[in-house]
Amino acid sequence: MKKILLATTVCASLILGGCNNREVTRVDPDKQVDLSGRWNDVDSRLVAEELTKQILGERWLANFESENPGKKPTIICGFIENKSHEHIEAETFVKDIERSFINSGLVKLVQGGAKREEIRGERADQQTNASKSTMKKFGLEMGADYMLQGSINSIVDSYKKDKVVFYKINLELSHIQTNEVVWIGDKELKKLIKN
Amino acid sequence: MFWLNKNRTLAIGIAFMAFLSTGCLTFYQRNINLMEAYEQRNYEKANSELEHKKWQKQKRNLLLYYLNKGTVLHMLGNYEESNNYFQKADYFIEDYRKSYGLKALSFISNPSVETYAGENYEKLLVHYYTTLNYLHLNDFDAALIECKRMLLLNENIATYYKKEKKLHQDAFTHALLGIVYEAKKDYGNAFIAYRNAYEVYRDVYVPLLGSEIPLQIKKDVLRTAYINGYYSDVAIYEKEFGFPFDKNELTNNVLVTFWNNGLCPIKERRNITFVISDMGNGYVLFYNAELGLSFPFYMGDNKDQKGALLGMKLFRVSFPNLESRPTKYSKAYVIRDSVKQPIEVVEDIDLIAHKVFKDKMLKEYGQVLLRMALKKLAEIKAQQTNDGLGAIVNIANAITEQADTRNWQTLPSAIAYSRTYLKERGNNIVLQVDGATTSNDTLLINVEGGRKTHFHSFSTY
Repeated sequence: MKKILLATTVCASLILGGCNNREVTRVDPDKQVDLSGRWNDVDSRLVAEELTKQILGERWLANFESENPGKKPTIICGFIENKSHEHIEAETFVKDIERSFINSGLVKLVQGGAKREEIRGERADQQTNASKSTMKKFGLEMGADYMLQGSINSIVDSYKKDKVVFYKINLELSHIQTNEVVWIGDKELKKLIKN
Repeated sequence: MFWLNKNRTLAIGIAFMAFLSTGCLTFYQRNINLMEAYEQRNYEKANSELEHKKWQKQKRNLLLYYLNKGTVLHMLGNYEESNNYFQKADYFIEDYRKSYGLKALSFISNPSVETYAGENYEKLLVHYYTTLNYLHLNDFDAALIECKRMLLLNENIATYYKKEKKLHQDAFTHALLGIVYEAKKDYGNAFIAYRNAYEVYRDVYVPLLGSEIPLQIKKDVLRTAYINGYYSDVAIYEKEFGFPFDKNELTNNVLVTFWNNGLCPIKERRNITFVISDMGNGYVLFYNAELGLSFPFYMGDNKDQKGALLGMKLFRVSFPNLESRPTKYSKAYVIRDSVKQPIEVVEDIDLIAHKVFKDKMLKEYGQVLLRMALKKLAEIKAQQTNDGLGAIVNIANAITEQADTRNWQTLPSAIAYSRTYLKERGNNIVLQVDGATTSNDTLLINVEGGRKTHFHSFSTY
């Protein structure tokens, strides 16, 4: 009798165990939190930091400065192709790279893609709606010297519940006038996910 | 009533167990409003049915909620929202860990209390829908990511199989990957994917399912081999397939049609009666002559328990049983300029579901029998101690014993695919389905200048 009562109580506690209240704790955005093993904000930040360090520490920058005394190279971020097996927002780590470029003070950055189109739209709008003294002119955009492009690749190896995910993020910087590739860098991430 | 008063706490426990159980209805019967609305193409109602039934969103049924929601939203043409739910299902499957507490609970009550984790073919087909959604949204890059995820899952599933007599590979996964690679004009990878699909059809589906290799897949292998300049492969496969490569297929103006036909099998409940006999050496045999099933259980030296089981002579157990749903149409065609081209089945879900069920059946039967035998022993033991208590345990066992009849029931019975070559403009396409009746649907496609792959999907029930 006691055993059956105990069994019933165990059943009840097993079920009710699933009814815990949700707990939310604020954490430092820099803190590494890995839950699923999928690509996350920490990966994005680590890759951006590493690749920015690489870009800004390489010879192409010194070469540009010696060929163009007193000038800083202007960079535009192009397309980062996601060839991985996950839906990765390339934009978040492109933003991290762009922020590092601006903060370094070593290079200039110009807007590209949809944001550039929006700016051009605003400039066109100013031609009819803004006063002459404040209206911005056409044809005075700063032309970029270099374009940053890249890809995110992944290889997955799994056996039953264990999985190794290898990400390789390739970036390359090309001179827009000459097509010359002045820098190639990559960052690798490897994750072992055990379930 | 004396025993009830005495055992009030226990009665509460029994009531609780009754609460745990989901009644005598099968999953299909509980979902009947949803399924009827779905079959009548009243997807708005189906969507609302999903929202208004709280039990659908319980954790143990959550995967099925995501799957049904994703399917219904797909049928409503709300592809982005559909993908949101399918992505939840994808992550649910990827992150799923067995709860050993619930596993233990399912063992003493019934398997329906366990979180539904999906059959392997269901897990794979999540990516069919997400791919289809992205193709409808014209996002071929995202569609490719879904196909890659499907392939990785397919490869991972294969690591669980040691015996190749079981269905350990999915041909459609490779075929879909090939279709998307080709739409992205990545012909090298498309050829590899089509060839892998062909090999799985040939080496796994033909021997295990008895299905035919789709002619379209053979054509896909030949075409992409030719485009890549793999002329020796073209020669090898022309010989193997028994027909030559048709150079008229060398055009990029293509309509790819997917036909989702019918609805997949559902799980019903089936009661099977076993005869119990003494095998000697401490073993008791549960035997059903009609199905040729026999399960020996070791009872050891416990003569009381063994005697109690043998005393029952007959033992009736409830198992899930897979039952196909009739399909209205058996064939479909794409007709362009009076040229009638069949849409061929590339994934026979009905056949696959039955094969998977058969492969798992013996193991499940054994588990169910063991669970029932243990419950029965507890009941006999309780009866020996106290008649009233025995009655309570009997009620509890009757209430809690249920076959798990859950599956993804909005899936089609079969997925068929065709590739139609188009003119530059004014393509008048007719989709025809044949069965007891014939139904036509006209689709007008203009390929204006751009050479691209057009995707179209339709469903019939």
